[in-house]
Amino acid sequence: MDLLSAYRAMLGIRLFEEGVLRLAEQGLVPGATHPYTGQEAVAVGVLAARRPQEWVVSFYRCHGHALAAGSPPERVLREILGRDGGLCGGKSGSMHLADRANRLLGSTSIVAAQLPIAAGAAMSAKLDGTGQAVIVFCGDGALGAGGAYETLTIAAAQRLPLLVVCEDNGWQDRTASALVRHLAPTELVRGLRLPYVEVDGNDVEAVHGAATAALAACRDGGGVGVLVAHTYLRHFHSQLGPRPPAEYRPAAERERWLARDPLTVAADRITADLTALRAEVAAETDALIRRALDAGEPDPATATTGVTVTGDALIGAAR
Amino acid sequence: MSRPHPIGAAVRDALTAQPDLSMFCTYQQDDLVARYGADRMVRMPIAENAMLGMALGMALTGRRVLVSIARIAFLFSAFDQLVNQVTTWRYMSGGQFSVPLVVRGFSRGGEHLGAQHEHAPYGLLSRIPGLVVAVPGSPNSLAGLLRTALTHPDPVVVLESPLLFAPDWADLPEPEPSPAALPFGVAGLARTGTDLTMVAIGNTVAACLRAADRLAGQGVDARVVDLRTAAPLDRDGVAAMVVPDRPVLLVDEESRAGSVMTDLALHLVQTGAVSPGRIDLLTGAPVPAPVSPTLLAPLLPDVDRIVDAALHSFAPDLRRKNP
Ligand SMILES: Cc1ncc(C[n+]2csc(CCOP(=O)(O)OP(=O)(O)O)c2C)c(N)n1
Repeated sequence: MDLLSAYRAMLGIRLFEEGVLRLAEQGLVPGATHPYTGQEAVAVGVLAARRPQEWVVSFYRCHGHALAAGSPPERVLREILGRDGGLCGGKSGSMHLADRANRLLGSTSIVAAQLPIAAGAAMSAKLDGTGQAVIVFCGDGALGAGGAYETLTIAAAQRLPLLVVCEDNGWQDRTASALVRHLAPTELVRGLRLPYVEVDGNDVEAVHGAATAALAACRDGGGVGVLVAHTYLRHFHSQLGPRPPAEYRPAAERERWLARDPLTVAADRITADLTALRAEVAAETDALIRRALDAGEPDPATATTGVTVTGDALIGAAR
Repeated sequence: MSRPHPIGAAVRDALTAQPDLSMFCTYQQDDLVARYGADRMVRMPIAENAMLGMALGMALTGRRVLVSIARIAFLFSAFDQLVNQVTTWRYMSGGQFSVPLVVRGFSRGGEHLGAQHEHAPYGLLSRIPGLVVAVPGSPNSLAGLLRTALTHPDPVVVLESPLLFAPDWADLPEPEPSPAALPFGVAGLARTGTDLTMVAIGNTVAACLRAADRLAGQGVDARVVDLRTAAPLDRDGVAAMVVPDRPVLLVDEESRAGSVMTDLALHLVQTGAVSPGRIDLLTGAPVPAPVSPTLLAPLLPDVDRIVDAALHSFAPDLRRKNP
């Protein structure tokens, strides 16, 4: 992985997400938005290790995963804004991004529901015999759900080529994970006898190295692997409506983490002058935000399309 | 000055009056934890199926649990416990056990969270034998139904519209005079009127009350009935509340197939409470909720559509009155 391009990708996500938050504060984002700021090194580091045909499965905090998977930023933003030309036609919004062309299988807003879906995709990959792995992202809170254990147990027994990337930010919404679970994610997966690696999730090179090795093991018939990336959100868990929520995390904890920002960690290792690159990414982001804001509303007639193959006829009949 | 939301007192009163009442919550509620202790206010990981099963175990052994599930959408993660365990225990044990357990969570309304979060599945839940399904249509009715739920011997799900907690919740039309306990299976007369009866549930209660105000401006005097619970469904009570020989409009944001409103419509027609030509339904479309407000709007009944349906779609008497 080229550190400079990784930095560029992370910066792109950061500015995109800060733009989304500004738009949300102006009341322009329908529904909820879950910022990815602070965790950019995980998406970028892991997905730089993916083969282009490998599927990625995400959850409601999906903007960064989609962008790192190659989804066109403007279409992602139009989707988040509910505008015409959005990635999913205005039906997904911020939390359910899917992009078949870039092998983003989808994102779920039901915590942990992505894990069995990804394991199913990994079973397909195993049957296909093409040596591809599947990458699934989840938060540490997802490991509280029964479906996570069911999936990990099956995936281990079946040796499914599945890489579970747990973004351990220590919180599940307003609840500190330590308050509701007696084991850390690494201890949990160790207890299940799953191969896992623990990595500094704010160090994109470390993430990339660990993901490369873990994916190689998955593809090689090694079966399910877990990557636990320790990281932190710069912003809050989520924003619903125009008012940002109040901070709920201890100030000392926040300061400690924010001092180790993934962009700074990467920039400190780059010798080249980043001024021009920063200006370029900022200009690109501003331009795509402007274009997305210029887009109109989706056609209301499309609200009823795509329910089922025969959906449109059925809706007519039901009414 | 803003008055405090009536739900706060309903929860605190029950926790104070009933030392055997515990609460499970995935969100920290620091004030309640401080007041009633972490042993009773149990903070839970994201594990809804386990939560419902544990609440069942506690209920069977003489306690009562209020499961604050955050969103009714997450109840689907707990469907085995709800459908196969929680609601069958009394019956399967030949009445040896009762299951005093309450689940409360947000349904849908005004939030644009999309297909996996926006659900008001009272029709679906009403088909589970042994379950009370409360669908409050106003802040006082929410508090009143929750008060009853917290003393009820059997499982209750309370579907709470986010609109009942929106910043402007105090401006919602309020048919209940107070937050006092409300009985299950008894529909309420939310507004009197003689020209037609609109039957509403949950979010459509406020919409119908607002539509009735508009209709009044056009000389139409509309009565509004609030079902309050989807199960038990007060079929006979509604039959007694419709005005003989006047039209009836049933308004529901759930879709029509297998809904509480189709059930009610059949009863009203079968008992002769309303003639088949004078009853109509206005329902939501059978489509998952899109996030885009532009796409969502045409899928749900709103005040405009209710007024329109009342005036034009089926009621020749009203049309004659309003040429
Ligand atoms: C089944 C289910 N229960 C509860 C929720 C509400 N909820 C949304 S996000 C969240 C916290 C999840 O935390 P974590 O998995 O650690 O991911 P993070 O948000 O920290 O990235 C909760 C409880 C949900 N979406 N789905």
